Amino acid sequence: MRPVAIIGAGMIPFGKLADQSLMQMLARAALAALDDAGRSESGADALFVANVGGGILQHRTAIASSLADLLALLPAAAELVENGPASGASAAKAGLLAVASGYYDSVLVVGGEKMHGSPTAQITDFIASMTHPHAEYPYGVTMTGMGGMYARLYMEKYNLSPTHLQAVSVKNHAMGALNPYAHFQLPIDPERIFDGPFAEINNPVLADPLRLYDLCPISDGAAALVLSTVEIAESLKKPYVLVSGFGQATDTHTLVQRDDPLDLKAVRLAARAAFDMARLSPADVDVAELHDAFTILEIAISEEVGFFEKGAGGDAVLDGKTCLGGQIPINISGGLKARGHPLGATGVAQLVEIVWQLRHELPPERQVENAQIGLTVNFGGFANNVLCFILKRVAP
Amino acid sequence: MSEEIKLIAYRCRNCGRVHYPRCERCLTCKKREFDEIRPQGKATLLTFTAVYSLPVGFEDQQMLCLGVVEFENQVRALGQISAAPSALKEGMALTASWGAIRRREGQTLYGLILAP
Repeated sequence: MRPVAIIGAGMIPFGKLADQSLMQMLARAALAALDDAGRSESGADALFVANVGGGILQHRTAIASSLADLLALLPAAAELVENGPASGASAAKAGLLAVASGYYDSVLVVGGEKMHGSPTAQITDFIASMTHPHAEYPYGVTMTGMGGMYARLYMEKYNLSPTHLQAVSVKNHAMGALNPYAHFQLPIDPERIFDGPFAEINNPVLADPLRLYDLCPISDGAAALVLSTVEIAESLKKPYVLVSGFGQATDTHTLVQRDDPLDLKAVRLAARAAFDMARLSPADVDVAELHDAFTILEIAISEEVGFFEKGAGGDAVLDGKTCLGGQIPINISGGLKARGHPLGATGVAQLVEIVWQLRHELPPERQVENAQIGLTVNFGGFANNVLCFILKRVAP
Repeated sequence: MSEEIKLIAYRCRNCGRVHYPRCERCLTCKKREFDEIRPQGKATLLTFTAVYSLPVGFEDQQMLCLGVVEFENQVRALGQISAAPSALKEGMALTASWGAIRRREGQTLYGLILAP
């Protein structure tokens, strides 16, 4: 396999984008990435599109072909990649392997989702359709419900308190407030949300013990990357990012089938494979974007990746180890919690954020100083399909 | 009690691992022969949640209590719990039955119902 560079990154601000169709969102993110890569006219040899709900929520299928036409990329190859909430990272993986194989020299990866526009119960049902069709879905369990059951087990075993979960939420909302692409750009006032007389109203229980501010919002959004050979990246005469490591692993569809339901084995295996490929260790990582669909997951994933011992991730957040300037800054974009979680967009948006961090392009208030190595974890279902990327800064 | 429950689990004939839901190959030894078994004995509550943002099919409900139990013969399953979450504690024994759990596209779906 030959090395692969990321030479372009772009996204649109996430949020409730009532005035934009799914295709418009995808196209705008794609054009931003192509412009960033200096390929406004030359485009790319192939297109991989990540999307989960187009066929269900927008009654649109074969959207990769449609986007290739919309962007005038023809006759570029085009495919749709659907892998639940990990679709974005899976599309990036497809792009990575397409360039690494030597078949294509440049690939455009676009991830997007339009989740608003349908009743909340229908969106919740659409997301729940990734649960097991016999053992889970008929019972009405949602992904949030799975998160609640996981959180209860974790909190009991590791003596984690709501204060630990709140610290994740406060941190990620504080960072989201600095990110113009985040769905929520307002910091949390802990006294009003968690402690005040209206705390039960402002922060209601949604999946006991998880509350509103433990959960990512329903968001619309899109993000895009341009991947290329190192030769093309070097010709641009500016800093770029190398895909240094990649790993992916699956686990049982249902939590009940796992020997230890708290063990996010696929996260650990995906991260280990990525570190092995990159010949790096967790201590080498300067900045990470982890799949915090629920606050508990940021803590659990940070442990499985190897940043902290099992059970120590909660205290690490309280101690400021995951803040900007801390031991390992996590979700400086605001994460899924504040930036939002448009399913197909998320894995790509995580990589976009790391590219910006490693190119040192962000404003000082959210730039990790001298960041050289970044890591992403994007997962589908309840950690039953996990992808981990390790990216490295290269300066000519 | 267990005769009424229509949930079927699958015990690997080679290594004995119990699967629910069904897999075509044993998750441990990869063999393909299974014996069908029903949940038996006491149902112990492993974890639970109360969900307040519900999908379609629960229009008449404000809250849905769900939990995972493990029966004495190692069958683990998700079920709906007929109780307030304040009445529940991990490790407690629940009684299991089989009943209507959801309306979906004009049909009634049946499944595991748990109660203190």
